[in-house]
Amino acid sequence: MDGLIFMLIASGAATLLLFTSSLYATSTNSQIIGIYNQEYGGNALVALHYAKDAKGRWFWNELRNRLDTGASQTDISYYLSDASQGKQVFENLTYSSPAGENTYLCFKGVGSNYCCGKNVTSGFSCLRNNPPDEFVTRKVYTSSVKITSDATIFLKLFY
Amino acid sequence: MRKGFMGPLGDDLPSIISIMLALSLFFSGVVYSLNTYNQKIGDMEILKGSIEIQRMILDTGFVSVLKPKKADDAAYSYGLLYDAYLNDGTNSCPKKAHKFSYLIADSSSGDMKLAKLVICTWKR
Repeated sequence: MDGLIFMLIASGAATLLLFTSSLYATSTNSQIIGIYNQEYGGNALVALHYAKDAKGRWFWNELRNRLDTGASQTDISYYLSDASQGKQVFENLTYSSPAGENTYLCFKGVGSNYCCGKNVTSGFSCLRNNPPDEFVTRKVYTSSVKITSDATIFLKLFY
Repeated sequence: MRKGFMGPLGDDLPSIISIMLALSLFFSGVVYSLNTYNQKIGDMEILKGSIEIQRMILDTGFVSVLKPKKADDAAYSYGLLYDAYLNDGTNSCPKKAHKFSYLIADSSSGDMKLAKLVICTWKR
């Protein structure tokens, strides 16, 4: 009887240890993923400062001009989908991103103009919602940079 | 000899088995927890090392030298070995290495262009 009671206590303690260690492992994993994604986002936004589009113009300047003048979502989508303009830059971003196809670039320009989109087969697709509806339950890592007093660019990685 | 008496040890055999079972269960739990803890601490160190290496490579905001001396020193201080390459270039990462990719601006070829920097790190 004593042995059985001892076994019960020991197995209880072992279960508690296993539970604690799995909880610790999960939280550490999410910390590692979080730190890495934030680091990726910060670096990517810095790299975009040095990026040039296919016409040799500064990518950031082109976006800034469009956002400051309240360009339509179609205009921004077209710029990022056109191979002779900014398509390659956005493809580079998606290609290097740990979130892959779920890498979103979002823009907030003058007025209520807002665009949040990702790379699809036809090119960059501007979805209006932020965050996109299908991802509200997913984990998102956001990095942002303000390029003028009215324009901000967000990089969102969805999982 | 009394009927059914199996000696001092024989009588306690059921308790001994359950106690041994309980002890092995408990210590398995302890060993498993310690292994998990050590593995996660190791993963965290590798991530910290990788970030430090990447910061050394991107010291100026863009890549001019892929494996600068500062990055070697950072890897050494974390007890790590590393390899860094651009895009899908040749790499010598072991299978178990941790891979981290970044979007960077590369100026090593003279002209500034975007590239994918892959850093893989593993324990020395």
